[in-house]
Formats: sequence, C-alpha cells, structure tokens
Amino acid sequence: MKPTATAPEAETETRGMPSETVRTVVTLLVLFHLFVCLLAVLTSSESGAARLVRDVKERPGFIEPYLTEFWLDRGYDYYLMNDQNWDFHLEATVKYADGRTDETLILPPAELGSGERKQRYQQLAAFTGAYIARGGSEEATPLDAERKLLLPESIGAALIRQHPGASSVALKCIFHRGISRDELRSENPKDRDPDAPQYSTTVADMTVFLDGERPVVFENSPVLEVSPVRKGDGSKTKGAASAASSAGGKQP
Amino acid sequence: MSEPEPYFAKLTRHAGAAWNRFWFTPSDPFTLAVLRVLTGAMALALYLSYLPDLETWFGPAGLLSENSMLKLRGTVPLFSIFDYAGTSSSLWFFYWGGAAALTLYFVGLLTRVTSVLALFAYLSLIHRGPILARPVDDVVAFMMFYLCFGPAGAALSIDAWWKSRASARSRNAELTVNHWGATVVTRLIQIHVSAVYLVMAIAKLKSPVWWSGVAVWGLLAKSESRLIYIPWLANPDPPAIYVLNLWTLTIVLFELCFALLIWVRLARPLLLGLAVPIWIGTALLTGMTSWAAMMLIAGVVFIPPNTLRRWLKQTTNEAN
Repeated sequence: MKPTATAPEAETETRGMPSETVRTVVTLLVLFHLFVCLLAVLTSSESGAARLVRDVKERPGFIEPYLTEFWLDRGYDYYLMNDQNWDFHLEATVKYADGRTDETLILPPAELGSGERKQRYQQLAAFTGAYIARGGSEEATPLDAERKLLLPESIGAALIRQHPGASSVALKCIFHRGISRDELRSENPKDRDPDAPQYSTTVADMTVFLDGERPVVFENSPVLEVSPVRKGDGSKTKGAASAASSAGGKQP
Repeated sequence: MSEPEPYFAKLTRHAGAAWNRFWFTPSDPFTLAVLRVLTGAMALALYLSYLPDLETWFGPAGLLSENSMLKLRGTVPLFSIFDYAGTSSSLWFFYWGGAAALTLYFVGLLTRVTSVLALFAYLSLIHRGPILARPVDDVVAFMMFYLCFGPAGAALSIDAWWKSRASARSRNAELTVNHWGATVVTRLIQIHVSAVYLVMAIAKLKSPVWWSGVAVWGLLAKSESRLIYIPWLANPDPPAIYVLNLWTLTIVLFELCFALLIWVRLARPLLLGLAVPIWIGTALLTGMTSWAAMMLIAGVVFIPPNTLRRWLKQTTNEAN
C-alpha cells in the first residue's frame, strides 16, 4: 500500500517515519510474511486443509522452506484435550545373546519428575504410537508406511549399541487412558484406581534386532486392531489406534 | 466550493494513513528489550534442559539417529548444525557454541548479530529432533525470529550500557531513541500472538469435550502429565460440575476474548491480568509450565514501554 504524505495532518504523522520507498518495501515484506503465516495456520491444523490453500503453499517452492526453516509452519491448534490424546510411555527390555535380560527401562524415566525433559520422552512415545497407527491404517500413504517403524528402529538400535553384548530389544509402546468421571465413582475399587491395568493398552509390541548395522523390527502382535480401551461408555468406544493417531499431533 | 473527494480516493488515503500510523510510527523499543531478556532467558533454559540428555538423544548411539530424523523431516530441507556432529566431541562443541550465542543474546552483547546466531542455535536443536519440539518451542521460535529484526538490544543490554558510557550527553543508561523498526516488530509479534490465541480457541471449540464443559477433567485425568489432581471435580452434581464447567468454559472464553479484545486499549490491562491465573491454572492442569510461562511472556508485547520502564524503576528503587 502506498503511503500518503500530502495532507497537512499526514506530514506531522510522517515525522520519524522511514522514507516512502522503505515503507513500500517493508509493507510488501510484512504482507508476504503474514500471508504465508496464514497459510501455515490453515494447512497445519489436524482438521485438514482446502486443496487450494495447500497448493498455494506448496507449489511456489519457496513458501514451505521459509516456513519450516524458521519453525513457523505451526497450526497452533493447542486443544490440549480432545478425549483421545492421553499419555504414552515406552518400555524397553534389552536381551543378551546368553539369555540374560536387563531390567525393563521405562521412558520417560520416573526420576525425571515433571518438566520439559519428561515431556520430550512422552512425546517420543506418543509419536512412536502415532506413526505405527498411521502406517498400519487403511488410509496410510507411502510416507506413512515409510515412517511407521522409523522410531522403533532408531530407539532399538541405540539401546543395542549402548549395551555391549546385547542381541535384541523388546520394545512396547503403552497408551495410558485417563480415568473417566463415571469410573472414578464406580463401586469396584479397581475401577477407581487410575493406574489399574485396564486403563493401559499396549499399542505396539516389537522386537528390534541388528542385522549388521541395520536395525530390523518385528511386530509381535497386531494389538491395535483388538484393543478397545474405552470402558463403561458404550456410545463412545474408542481404540488406542485412534488415540495414537491424534496424540502424535503435527508430523515433523 | 471544492468538489467532494471520490469515495475510493478517500478510502485509499485514509487506509494508507492508518497503515502508516499502525506500522511506522516510531516507538520506544523498551518493550522489545524486555521481551528479548525474557525470551532469551526462556530459550537458554530450554536449550540447557537438553544438557543431561544430549548424548541420549543425539549422540552417535543416541535414540534419535541422524538418519531416522532426516527421513522423518521428509522432502522439505531443514538445516541443523547438529547434523554435522558425527562424533560426541563435535556434538558438544556445537552445543556449547549455541549456549554461548544464547547467553550473549540474553545479556545483549552485539545483539544484532547474536540474535541471529541464537535463533540459528535454537532452531538447529529443534530441527535435529523435531519430534521432541513442544508448544513452548513454537512460541520461543517465532518470538526470537521477530526480535532479530528490531532494536531489541537498545535497552537492558551490554550494548546499551556501552553506548551510554560512550555518549557524553547520555546520563541515563536506559536512554533510547524511538525507532520505526521497533513498531514494525512489535506489531508483528502482537498480530502473531493474538492469532495464536484465536487458533487455540477455535481448536478447542472443535472438540466436544470443550463445548460440553468437561475438558478440564480430561486434563486432570492425565496422571502422567498433570501437576494437580482434584477428584472432587468428578462429582456429577452441583457445585462440582458447575466448577468443572466454569473452569473449562473460562479457558475458551478467555482465549477468544484475548484474541479479539486485546486490540482495545482499555481491555488490555484486564486481559493481561486475567492471563496470569488462567495460565497458572493451565500449567497445573497440563504440566506444561514453560509453555504457560512463555505465553505470559508473549503477552508482554501488549504492555506499553512507559509502563514497563515505570515498573522496572519501582522494582529497582524498592530493591535499593
């Protein structure tokens, strides 16, 4: 937008302002930036995006790198709770060639307490579950299929390398649903315990080996397809698979 | 008698003048300086929180191998200096280099340069393991991005202290000159922050648990994340259910109001004041204390520089 500076009142307004050329250049840059940020918000939501908006963002070839490089490609749709995005954690057991096994390692480790360090491990677990759920679903894209076991491969291989003599790692991704208000008022004391076994579901159970330097993942059972986790609310039966899909949030 | 100005000519003239006033009226960069200090402190704290786990995440035998992260990033190129850390020693070298840049940015030494280096270091760490990035990183990243473009080192910095010593006429170490660059950056941050609030509110309204006023229970039920637990709120009868509904709906209503009414000057002190208990409550519910703190810090962009100067002066006087 061209600045105007002809009216007397405008002259006083322009005191200390940059020159008209600078204002024009800055205006164009500001408009570009705000426009691409709007595109980021419109395309990063979990609700999906219009084809037109996605094409405008992806086709020019410079908008997406600009947004992702500066970490501006965010949806900011922090709903915090959608009745599906519960807690996740990982359980890893290192196994040795002579049959020994280490104590099961819980990620996040209990000693971390609260805070960012713990939440990063929780997020790792949530993404592990989310990628496996997406990669195993009927609507999985080739990218989803490629990403499905990337994290278990990486985590398993790291643990094998960190433990000399280790031959494999048993890795589980556990989904921990929060207790509902109805369950908390149940007459059965087991139902009132938020940490009772019925509130945890194994969404992925895998064994990771190293074939030379290359990690190989075996999925031990297709638990995702047989694990309804919502109890006591027939109208809203939800599986851990859908929970994992939403818990991972926006993919990197 | 002169002819009346055509409508579109008048519209363009007024819109142009309003645009110039909004973006280019020179302003005191003190608010940006406060934001630099607070954002720099948060960025440094978050960056240093990787310290105990750096090798565990990104080391040669780390949980997130470079290869797997490169595949996760997909086809869009992302640069991270940590991608070039093939050994443990190079990983630590880059890490401490980034920590140094963030420290210099925080204290305001060569701020124009260190603001870019600090952003580079922070983004490098996020890009190395993007799945570890949290909502707080989103906010810190855009705040640091914008602050690169403004005179954020014009006050509360070693740069300003040096400048005031060098300048014979300047007796006040905090003496700063109004600058249009400060206005542009302040406006960009203000727009971005209010957009974040708006999108947050819309995202919540799309979820039935927020509409029905029980989402707060869901957050309280996340036993591995929450910081507080109030089982009394599970009671289906009043007053417990009313408290639960009120808490849930207040969060959504506040976010909506903040996004829209923060542009009304009279409403600003009220909204910024309400933000404190709302975000403390959210931190207790979600365990995301740093994110809540960063959202409060981002809100500082709506506080006029004169007010911040007065508060700082009062605090300094009381301390003395």
